[in-house]
Amino acid sequence: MFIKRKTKEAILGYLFVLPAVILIGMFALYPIIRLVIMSFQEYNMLSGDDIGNFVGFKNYINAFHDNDFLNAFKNTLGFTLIVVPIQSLLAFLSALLVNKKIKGIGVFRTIYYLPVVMSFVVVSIFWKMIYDPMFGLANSILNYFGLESQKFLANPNQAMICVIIMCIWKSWGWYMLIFLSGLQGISKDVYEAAAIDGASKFEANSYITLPLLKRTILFVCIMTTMDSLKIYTPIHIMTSGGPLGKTDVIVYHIWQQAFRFNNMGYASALAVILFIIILLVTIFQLKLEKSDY
Amino acid sequence: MMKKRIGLLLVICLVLVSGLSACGKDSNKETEGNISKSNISGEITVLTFEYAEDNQYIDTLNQLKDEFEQTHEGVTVKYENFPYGEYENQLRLSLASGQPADIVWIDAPYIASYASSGALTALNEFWAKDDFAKLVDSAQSAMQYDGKIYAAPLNEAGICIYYNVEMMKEAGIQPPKELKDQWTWDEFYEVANKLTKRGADGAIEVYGCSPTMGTPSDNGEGVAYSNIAWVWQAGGSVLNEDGTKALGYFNSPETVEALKFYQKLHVEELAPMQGITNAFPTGKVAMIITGAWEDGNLRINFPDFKYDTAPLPKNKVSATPTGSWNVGIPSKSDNKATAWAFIETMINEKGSKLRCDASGDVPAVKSVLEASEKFSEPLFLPIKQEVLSNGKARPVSPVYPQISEALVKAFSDVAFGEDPQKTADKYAAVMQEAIDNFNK
Repeated sequence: MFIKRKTKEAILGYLFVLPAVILIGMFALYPIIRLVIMSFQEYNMLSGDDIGNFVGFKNYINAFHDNDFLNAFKNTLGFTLIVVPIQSLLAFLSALLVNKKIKGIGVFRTIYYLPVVMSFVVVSIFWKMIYDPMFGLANSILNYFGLESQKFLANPNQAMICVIIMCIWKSWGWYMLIFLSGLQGISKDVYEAAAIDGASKFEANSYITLPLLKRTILFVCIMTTMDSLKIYTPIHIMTSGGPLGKTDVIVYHIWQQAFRFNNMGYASALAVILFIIILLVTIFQLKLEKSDY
Repeated sequence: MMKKRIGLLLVICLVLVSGLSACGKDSNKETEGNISKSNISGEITVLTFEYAEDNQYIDTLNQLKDEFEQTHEGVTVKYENFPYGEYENQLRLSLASGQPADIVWIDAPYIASYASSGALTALNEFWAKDDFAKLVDSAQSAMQYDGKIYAAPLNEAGICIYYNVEMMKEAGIQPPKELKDQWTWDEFYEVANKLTKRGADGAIEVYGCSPTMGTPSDNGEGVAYSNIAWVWQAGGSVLNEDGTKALGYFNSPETVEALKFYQKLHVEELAPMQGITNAFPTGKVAMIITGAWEDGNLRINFPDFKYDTAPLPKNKVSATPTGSWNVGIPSKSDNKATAWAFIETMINEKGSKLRCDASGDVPAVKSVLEASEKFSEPLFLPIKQEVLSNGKARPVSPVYPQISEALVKAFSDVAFGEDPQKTADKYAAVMQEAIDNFNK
């Protein structure tokens, strides 16, 4: 049979992308489509049925009357607003520090990066031990300096801050590495030229490093924002959303609705809402970038 | 041109995916209606979990399986074992897949939730009434939802006070052993107060008691299970008799009294706010509330530690929460007759004795519990007396997960200083909303 060369190439092309398409279709596209469909249904997973009853926008409307969800939303927002600036700044400053040609700098880079390679679950468990009010390391240190013991995770006003400190410690090394690669991408020539023109170290940083790192900074901001909005593991392990609901976050709330209360439809609606929020934030941040170029 | 191609790709992958997901449906034959003894054949799978290190119990399960396979020709029983912590998820996955195992392990308070989803087979037509009546009373009520039986108890459970013998002696207190001598709440409070030790700087060195399995910072069914005892002992209840009302029940003066007592224990620092690893055997907490299973852990890991048990305290009422693991047959199982035959071997007097002797659990069959050697020992006497006389099942409700969650949060909130009446009102409303939403 005669097949045109062009068609042949096209078929070959489709065959090459087919494995990826199947995998993405099965594990990304199909679940997302199913999620959106389920968010309009009252769906009980345990019945073993494939389809639930359609209830229109009921799940979405309920979300805005659900005080626990609104509380979780508020907590997640607070978490994000604290974590994103602090973590990005720390990552940036530490990247400046380790971007030096000193002997043994690799050791420092490794130390900062170590928490990143550890599992979030493991890290959460041992920070929970650090925060233990009776035997924890944190209180030992406080006592050593003559300060009073704290309750940390068992104190409604401290619990979220404790989780935030741990999360920043865990992830900052990763973003430091991204800043570092950004810094090393900046040509030495620019700094040399500036030095000849009489620019100080501080001026070089603010007029050369920062503008040239704009893209990296934006990337880090988007990634940390997304990670923060999706925070779940440490909450599940360290606080279960307590005390007094002060550490309840959106994803934990979704998990609870889906897998503890069997409200799959409602949980799907919440997941779609979270998806839209993250999408909007990302679009906004990308627009911010475009306006500058 | 580009758009067209992307569209084509999308269509291809959707077709592929829907084709794949359709593959699983064919074997889903309905088997309702043709249940008789002659149908006992083929393979059944049993979804179960194992406690680490508990070889004796697994051996017993295998012994039951071998005997059953020998007496029923052509039958194979297959256990699908999962670690305990992962079991609930596996169970949900199995049921949701539409091709579940033939026998599944279910925690008592969730029976109604699964049954109301249509996930479980009613066992009335299999189970002879006389045999069902052999169970202890609390187990009988826990197995039923909406007038039908949906599960069979593997064993029962009860909780009691475990105390540190040396600390008790030091304080000059002689705790009760028999249920009839049980402490009142006031006495329990006095004892906890005496046992609490503070250092020179006022920091707690020993907490007098831990009034729940876990602390106000924990959650999960174990916490709900033990918290509910305080509500009942105060004379209250979480829901009304038929499980339709929480308002007026969970926020009744009785429940509020229970919350106040629980709050007092924590605000006065007689009980820890957060979990301490091995708090009891290392002498950080003098009294804990837990079940017969704790004995195994203490005996094996802390052989030099001296402890003993006492019955739970009472206030207006004497009550102990019961309920443990049960077995049920998923509604989409295609070999129900064989599944039931095997369940019967596991839960009849012989099977019950065999299993409970191996695992150390409380037998759910009255005669087996009464004759049990282990539960005649002084250490387990309080639990035996409680299960036989004042044991009470947790509320039967299809929205039990929400009820349990709200109950745990209410106790946690008051321990963290919230007003008991307001907290009770708040969570009674949460429970009521869950019930009403379900009944709509």
